[in-house]
Amino acid sequence: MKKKFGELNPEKKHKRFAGKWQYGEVLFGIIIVSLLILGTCWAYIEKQELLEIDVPNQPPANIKLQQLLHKPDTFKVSYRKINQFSQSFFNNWNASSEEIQYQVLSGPDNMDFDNATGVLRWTPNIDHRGTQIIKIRLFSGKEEKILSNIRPDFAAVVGEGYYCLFPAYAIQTPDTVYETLIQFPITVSSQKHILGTDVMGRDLMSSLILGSKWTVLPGFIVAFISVFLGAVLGGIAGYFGGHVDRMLGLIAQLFAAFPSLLIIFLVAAIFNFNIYLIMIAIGILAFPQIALTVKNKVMVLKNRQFIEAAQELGLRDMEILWKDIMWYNLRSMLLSFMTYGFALAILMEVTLSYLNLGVQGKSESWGNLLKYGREQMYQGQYWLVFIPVVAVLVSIMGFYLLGDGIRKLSMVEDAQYE
Amino acid sequence: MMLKLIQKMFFAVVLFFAAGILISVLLALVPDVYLDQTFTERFVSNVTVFVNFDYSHSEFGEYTLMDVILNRGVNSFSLIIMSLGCILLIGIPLGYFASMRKHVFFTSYWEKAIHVISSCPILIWALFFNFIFINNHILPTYDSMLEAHGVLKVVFFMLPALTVAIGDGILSDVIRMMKEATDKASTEEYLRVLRSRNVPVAKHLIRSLLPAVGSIISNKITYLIGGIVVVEYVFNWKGLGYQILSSISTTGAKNYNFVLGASVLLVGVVVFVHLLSDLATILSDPRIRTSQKI
Repeated sequence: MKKKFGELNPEKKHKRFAGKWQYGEVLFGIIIVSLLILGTCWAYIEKQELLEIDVPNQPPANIKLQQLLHKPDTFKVSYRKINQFSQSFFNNWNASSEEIQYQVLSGPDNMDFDNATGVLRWTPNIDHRGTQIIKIRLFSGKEEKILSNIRPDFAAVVGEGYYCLFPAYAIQTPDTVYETLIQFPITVSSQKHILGTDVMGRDLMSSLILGSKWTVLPGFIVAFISVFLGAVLGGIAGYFGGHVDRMLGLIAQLFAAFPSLLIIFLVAAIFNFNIYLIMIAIGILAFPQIALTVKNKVMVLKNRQFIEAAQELGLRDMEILWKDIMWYNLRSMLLSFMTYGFALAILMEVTLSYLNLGVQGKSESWGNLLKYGREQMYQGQYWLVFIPVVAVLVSIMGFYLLGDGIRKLSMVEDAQYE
Repeated sequence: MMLKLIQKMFFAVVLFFAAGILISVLLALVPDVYLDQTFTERFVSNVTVFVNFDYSHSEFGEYTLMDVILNRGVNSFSLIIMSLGCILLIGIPLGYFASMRKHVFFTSYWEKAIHVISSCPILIWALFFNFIFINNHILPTYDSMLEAHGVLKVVFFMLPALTVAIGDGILSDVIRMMKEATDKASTEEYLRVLRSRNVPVAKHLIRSLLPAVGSIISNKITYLIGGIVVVEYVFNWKGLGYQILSSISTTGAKNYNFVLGASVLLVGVVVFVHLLSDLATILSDPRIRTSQKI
């Protein structure tokens, strides 16, 4: 028979969706889900140990100042792993240290500054965790031109095992060119913290692990409620029609007219920002879409021949609906909706916590990490936002890929049986 | 046809009142230690304010509630209109070309790329844009907008509007819906006849797609309004969403009457856009217009 244009070869039909990618998607999703569950378990069991903050005693840290050519109106921010950086320290050095003198205006208490070499020695201890601000005044009586072109680009804490960052921060060129003020924060953390520390000196990795507990249980609440209500009401509306169908249509239209984020805000205020109760509301708000999809699927399936055969055999309607339609034909779709529910829950938790409406206090939810890291982001400590963002994106993507993979694999099975 | 139009309008009014009553119920449930009223009293007072449209009392110093709602509303609705513009300028043409240029090798790839880009949440896009453009002073945001003149104000809207338009899968949804609508419309019989007679079909096809564009906009306006709340907070944009957030959250001053007024305004806009889309569909499609079925 001549094949029509655009028609796929029926013999190769089952190969349309089959491929390694679907298994990869499911595998990736399963890995992400397992990591989140493991993180949650760990967060509940080992909370005290994870929260411990430690800055071990290390050899003294040295801080030097470097001059680079001045570019007006630009503030370059640089972050470096100091152990690698200290050797290439004197590039672009235009003025010798004799021409410029330094005066430390403020800094940590046990800091020691050598005026001749411009080396600052400082051993951070447990009290210095977080951000320390050091103010240094540069002045010279000899060369006016040099100082007018100064743009400090910092600098180093060189201590074995210390990562430090040096945003070249707000150099103010004064009216007179004889002096200038440098002010920059130094964040103390040690190699023990793989992803660095936040502004309070807490380990970011531990915070991420602790934050994963706000993804699993809320996600399960949203997924279960939305899929349960969607399957029950959508199934009944699709199979029997009638009042349930009409009610479902009205609810869907009412929810479609209402920006759901506004309802969630009000619900959050009603339940005093309890994240679990908010998630119940999100589940209820999410169910009409699922119910409508399920309804359409059920309406298509109930006209198929195997349903007619089941009815002829005398099976009860509810049995046909739940067993033949829902369980045998729609379970993979419902399962993929559950994974989307998890993704929605993570997204809502992050958004609400960021907007001060979700997890309250200084708990380590991912949204709170973003919220507290945002101010630091402008000072150059970008990883305080970057790493939670990556965690959020990877988990959302993991859940989406898991759902998509499950769906496509079931489609492969369907195509093979047809 | 008139019966259909009246039915749609009646339904929109009912929906608007239902939404208003839902907001009143929710606001009456919000615990407030400063108000010594029962749930029923608060509900009745909320409904009274909603039905009478009485926002003349003052809770913002010398300004009435209506002044504040209108002042903030101008900023928010400018943002919504700009983001709708982004969707119309980016999403709709891309969806159209994705359908028309299906056989082109790159089409599926850029579609997938946009899908991945667009599925990133609005909050994260907003943070990203904030970090790249505002931190480096490349593009301005709200702060100095009042000093700008005329068309230059558009520059201030670019980042927030673009963020709302592409985040949370809105752009990829629009492209997908437009592609499906174009696919469906381009296989109609009358277009095949036109093609067989060598008549250019683009004009007829685009005309038949206009109701689809309307339905896409009415579908997405709810998401856009949800999105601007987040974007206004991140970009420090003084609009309705920003004010609603600070009226509800733990750190801001509580002001539930403002929440009622602003929510009713936003819901009203959504219902109005839905109604316009329905009416446009009825008026433009002769099959629906002339059918006897209601």
